[in-house]
Amino acid sequence: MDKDMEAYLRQLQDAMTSAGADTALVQDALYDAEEHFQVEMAVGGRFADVAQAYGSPEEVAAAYLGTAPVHETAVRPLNSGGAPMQGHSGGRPDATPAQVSYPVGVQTGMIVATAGGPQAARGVLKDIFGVFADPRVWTSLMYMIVSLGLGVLYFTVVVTGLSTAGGMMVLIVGIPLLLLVLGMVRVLALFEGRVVEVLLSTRMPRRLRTVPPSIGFFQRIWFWLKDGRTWLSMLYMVAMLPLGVVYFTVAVTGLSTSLALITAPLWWWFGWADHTFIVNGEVHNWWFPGWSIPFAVIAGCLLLIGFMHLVKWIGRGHALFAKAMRYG
Amino acid sequence: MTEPSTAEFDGGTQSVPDPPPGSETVAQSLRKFNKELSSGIVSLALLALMAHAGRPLYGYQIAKELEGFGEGLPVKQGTLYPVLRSLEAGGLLTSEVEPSVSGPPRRYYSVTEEGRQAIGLWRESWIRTREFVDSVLEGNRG
Repeated sequence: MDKDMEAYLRQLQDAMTSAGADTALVQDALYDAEEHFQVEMAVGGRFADVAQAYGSPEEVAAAYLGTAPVHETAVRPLNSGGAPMQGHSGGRPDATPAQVSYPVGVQTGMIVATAGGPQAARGVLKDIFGVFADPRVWTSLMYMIVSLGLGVLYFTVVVTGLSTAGGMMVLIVGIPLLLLVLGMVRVLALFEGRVVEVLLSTRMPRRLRTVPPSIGFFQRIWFWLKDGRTWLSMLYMVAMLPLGVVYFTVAVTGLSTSLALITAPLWWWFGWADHTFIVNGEVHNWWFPGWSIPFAVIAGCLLLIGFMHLVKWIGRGHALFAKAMRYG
Repeated sequence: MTEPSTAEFDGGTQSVPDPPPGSETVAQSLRKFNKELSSGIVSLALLALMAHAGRPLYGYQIAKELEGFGEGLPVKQGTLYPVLRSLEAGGLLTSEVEPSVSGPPRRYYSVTEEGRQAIGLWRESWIRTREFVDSVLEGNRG
């Protein structure tokens, strides 16, 4: 019976994936079907009848694909792609089926509808300055800042957990320890998914993968161990430490350097623009000359714009990476 | 467990009502018509049921409740779920996921204030449409 259900769910997944549905929408459809079947199965009945009443995988897939693209515009970023012509399309979603995504903001209560930005800003100007009006860039920046702390946490849990459990494996305690680590990885992966969904505006799984309720203790461990997503999640968590270091460093240095340059007139005006170096025991005093201040402001502005674009691309790239590692 | 693993779950050709004997064109046109007809009706029926229920319901309960009306649900149960999600995306329903003792957590839907307001307007619109279609079908010019 479980076999039939698994077969049905696989067919549904294939039908939706081959039609180019977003992974998150596929996940929703699978959750709904699984929930329905589990209740039906608990009541008792032949799976063939249940599936007949539920509809064929193709029918169900078509129903999801038919209702999905609502509010699609709301989650689209301001400058999708580099071509300025795309900016004039008035926020119409691309027609490619692979682009069909699920209404994130509507579901999570997040305000993403303003991503359309002011209509007046056009073409190249919109491409350059639009980043400041795009709330997703600001939330990406926030993600980059918190990623260091999260990376340290994930890395520590996975590395210490696995090595402790591995070391204890000669004793029997290793098994419950391993189970604990696996459980923690699953919960942390779900938590990271929530963070990524809110800050990077991409759909992530909302719940843990369900273990068939009928199976025993050791089968449960085996189920988790052979689930490729458990290992992908661990890999992601280990990778989050170096990534977090890079993201945090880029965010903090980029923001502080550009803001310091932009506010250079203030420092100069208040007489704080002198620098004292001590090189080989000799004291050097150096003042920013007055003529350099406007250049500092210009350089700061350029740096800030470039920095915000970098944040945008890091945010998008990381969202793709996180998604690939979770849905694997 | 005793059931052999069925490779295909093809219930697609047996949508209710059954196509009358006739050419494939007629059967196909009925399927197409049913599909087009159901898109709004299912939303209306779901919203009306939720407004009457007065308590949060999960997908399976909703499907079973709807089976009890008239001659039964005219669409496949599986097609209700995406409609529920799209009603939620439109702000007419809200949902909450609650764990269940057996199996996966269940998503409980309940109607929002906007949903209650919408159902009144939808109902009027439906009655007007129904009366219009009925009188056209019967040839009454009123």
